[in-house]
Amino acid sequence: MHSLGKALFLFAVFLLFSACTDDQPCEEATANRLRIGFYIAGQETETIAVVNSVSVYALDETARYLIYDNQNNVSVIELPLNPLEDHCAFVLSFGESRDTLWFQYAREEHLISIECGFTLFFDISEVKYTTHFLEALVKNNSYVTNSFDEHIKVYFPDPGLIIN
Amino acid sequence: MNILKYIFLILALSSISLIAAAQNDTIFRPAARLGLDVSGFARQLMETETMPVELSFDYEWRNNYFAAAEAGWLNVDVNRETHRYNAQGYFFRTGIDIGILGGDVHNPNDHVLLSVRYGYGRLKQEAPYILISDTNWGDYETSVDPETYHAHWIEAGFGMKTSIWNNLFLGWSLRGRVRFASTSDPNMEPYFISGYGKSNNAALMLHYSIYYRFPL
Repeated sequence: MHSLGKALFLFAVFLLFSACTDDQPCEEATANRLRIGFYIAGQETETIAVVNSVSVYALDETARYLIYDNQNNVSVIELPLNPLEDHCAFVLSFGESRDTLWFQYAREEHLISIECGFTLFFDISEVKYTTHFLEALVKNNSYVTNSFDEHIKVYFPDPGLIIN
Repeated sequence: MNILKYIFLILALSSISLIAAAQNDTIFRPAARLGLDVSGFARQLMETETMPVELSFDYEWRNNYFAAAEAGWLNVDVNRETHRYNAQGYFFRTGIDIGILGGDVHNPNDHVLLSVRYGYGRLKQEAPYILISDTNWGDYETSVDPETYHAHWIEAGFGMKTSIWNNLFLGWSLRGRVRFASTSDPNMEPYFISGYGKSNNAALMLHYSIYYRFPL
């Protein structure tokens, strides 16, 4: 093999090792949240509602977990669906008024990457809710993934809200 | 892409070297070559979780025209704190190499080649342990059962082979691949597709092989 050939092969070996080191550390979010937007009911154009104060509890059979603690000026909340069960519930507290949301869903394991590992996607099949304070609820996108989609729209009546 | 820039530089240098000695008249002697792709072993040194093994065979049926076949298998074993992922599979590729430079009477053992291949890979993958932690709800352990994955692709590339001693050859080739059909599972795309590489719609991979030529 002539000297140029040797040089080219050595260079190819160098390239080979360079090409092998392209893995990146995990930089993606691995928790997927149910995103709920607040809106004013009965408007001709969709109007965002900003709630003065909201607290949110996650409920299971034995305990409750505080997700939002008297958060001010809220128009969107992000809730962690229970990965251990196919259902869960949240209590939304607006001062003296409270409403409960129940979610039924299927869980799907999803490989983000070898570095990040797995996460769960949720396919929401059913939503039930009380209407003590909120007026209506609409499913906007039933598939909860690592995208930033809004999944649920909650509509409130006009009174008692600060409107943008 | 930087690697492409370097490879084109290599090809240009190779061309200058071989054109200088090119002759039209060649005494053709059919030959077959058996090869072992050592880039898989290099990858295993850098990424200990992935182990591809690949053998190749080519037969020069007429001067500078090679029928080529490659086959091998893949083993992936990822073991992390939050997940385990395993995959085992095999693959084959078949197509032709065309010598564009070299292979003449003055440089019978130097070849610059253009390659075209069809490829097929099959693997079985599973995730026997997955831990998903949630600060509110706690830890959830689950798994994904074994599932089979298939992929078909076409590839094209170029490379060179040269004799280092008698019938012993070294060679490299750069291949671009485009997958045109595969099993669909959006929730668990394979980490590494046997014979193809990282699980993207298009892939670029450098192969580096050692060959033994059998004069016929």
